[in-house]
Amino acid sequence: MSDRARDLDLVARYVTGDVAAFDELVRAHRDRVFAICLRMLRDRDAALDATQDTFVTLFRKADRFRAESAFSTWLYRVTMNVCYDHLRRSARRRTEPLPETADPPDTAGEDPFSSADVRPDIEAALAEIAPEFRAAVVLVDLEGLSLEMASDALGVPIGTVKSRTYRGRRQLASLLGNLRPGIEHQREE
Amino acid sequence: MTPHAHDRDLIMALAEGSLRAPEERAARLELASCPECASELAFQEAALTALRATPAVAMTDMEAARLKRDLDTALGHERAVIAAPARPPRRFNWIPALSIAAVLLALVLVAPALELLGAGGDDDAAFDTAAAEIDSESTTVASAAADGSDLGLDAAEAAPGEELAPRSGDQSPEFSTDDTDDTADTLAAASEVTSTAAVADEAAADALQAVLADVQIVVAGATGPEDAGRSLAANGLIASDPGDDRCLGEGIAALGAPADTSYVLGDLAIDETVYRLTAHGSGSGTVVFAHAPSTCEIVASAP
Repeated sequence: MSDRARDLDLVARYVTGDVAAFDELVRAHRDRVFAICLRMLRDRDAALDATQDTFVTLFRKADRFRAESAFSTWLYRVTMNVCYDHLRRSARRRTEPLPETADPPDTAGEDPFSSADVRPDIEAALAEIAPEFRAAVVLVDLEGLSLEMASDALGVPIGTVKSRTYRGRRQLASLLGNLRPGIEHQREE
Repeated sequence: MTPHAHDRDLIMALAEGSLRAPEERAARLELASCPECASELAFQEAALTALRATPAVAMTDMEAARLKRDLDTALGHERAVIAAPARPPRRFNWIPALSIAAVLLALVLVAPALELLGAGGDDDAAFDTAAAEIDSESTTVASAAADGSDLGLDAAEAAPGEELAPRSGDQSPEFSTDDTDDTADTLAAASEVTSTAAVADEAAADALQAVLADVQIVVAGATGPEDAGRSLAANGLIASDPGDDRCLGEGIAALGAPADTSYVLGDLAIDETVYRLTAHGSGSGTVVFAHAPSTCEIVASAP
């Protein structure tokens, strides 16, 4: 059975009262949902909270899934909406500036990254680019979604996904400074 | 300068390496005459190189355990409701509902007369006794309706979904809450001085529970549970957002239920194309109804 068929079966079972099917959906998708949340929010605790919120929403709204697209795409859309909510709340909380020392402690010791040399730069750069560009880059380049799936997950046309991915990559490259001399200082328009 | 869309697509395809060799040669030739395009390509390639070097992310075992624990905490009650075994369908019994309606009607008709005759002689004493009896029965309806818990309706049994809060704007113009609220208030106040209320409460609770369990919705033309479930959701019957409660709002309005009542969807059973939907108010009224999802037409109801 394909992943898509499995998901459809699990959702159908869940909406007709089989709670165990919900647990299977969580197990099947939690890592990818968490990965998206972490890329979007950068902080593992926040990502875990957002993952929980995503599955709570799934639990309560699964009956709204129309099976017109893959379940995973629908779930990623929920995930993105949850992430945007978290970002908005974080932005509101930041209205009172905190000193640098108030940043949360580094939890690098707990995470499973093996390439610590690369990760901090990418994470920091991703956090700097506009959320809508970040979302496109995360889904297309990091999670490997097709443009069509990303379009469904983000609720925007494919052309917009392309444009956001393109501009997101460009901002990312500028921030990483990982370019030949002479190119990295070009102005972005 | 940002390249045109055509150039952008070409640059993206080149950077992603998704072109075949002849196409790639042609594309590079085309971009060679555009310095801005060449620098854009460098940006895209640099970003992709960095992104592809980024390791995959996964939860640690500790994080997975925390997610499970937090989900169990957040959804514990709702999980228990869904996991509860469905009650076997019963044939709809109108007798309890009609009995309750008759008692309410009697109260409305007789109470004013009792007030007018309040200063009478021996016959009046008989009226007073009858009125007391009617009051004691009627108040059980109001007090039971005022609080779902008084109906013996375990929340875990009666509310598998979410609270449905109909917007006042969804209600029909003829919908009025004042009369209903007044009646409920009067009856609720009377219940405080009626010594027999507790005994009668039990009977009313049983009657209302029977009503709540037996309203059915038939979704015409549904091809199966999933299809019919979608139809129910599309018509707001198993949804919770205020914007999706069209049928719910119309049903509540048609039944003259109080506007400020919080409605809890309960006891949705899916058996191929037959659906049973119940709801009760947790505020000052109780209502049971079922709709034809496509039209919102009420096919069965009981106050």
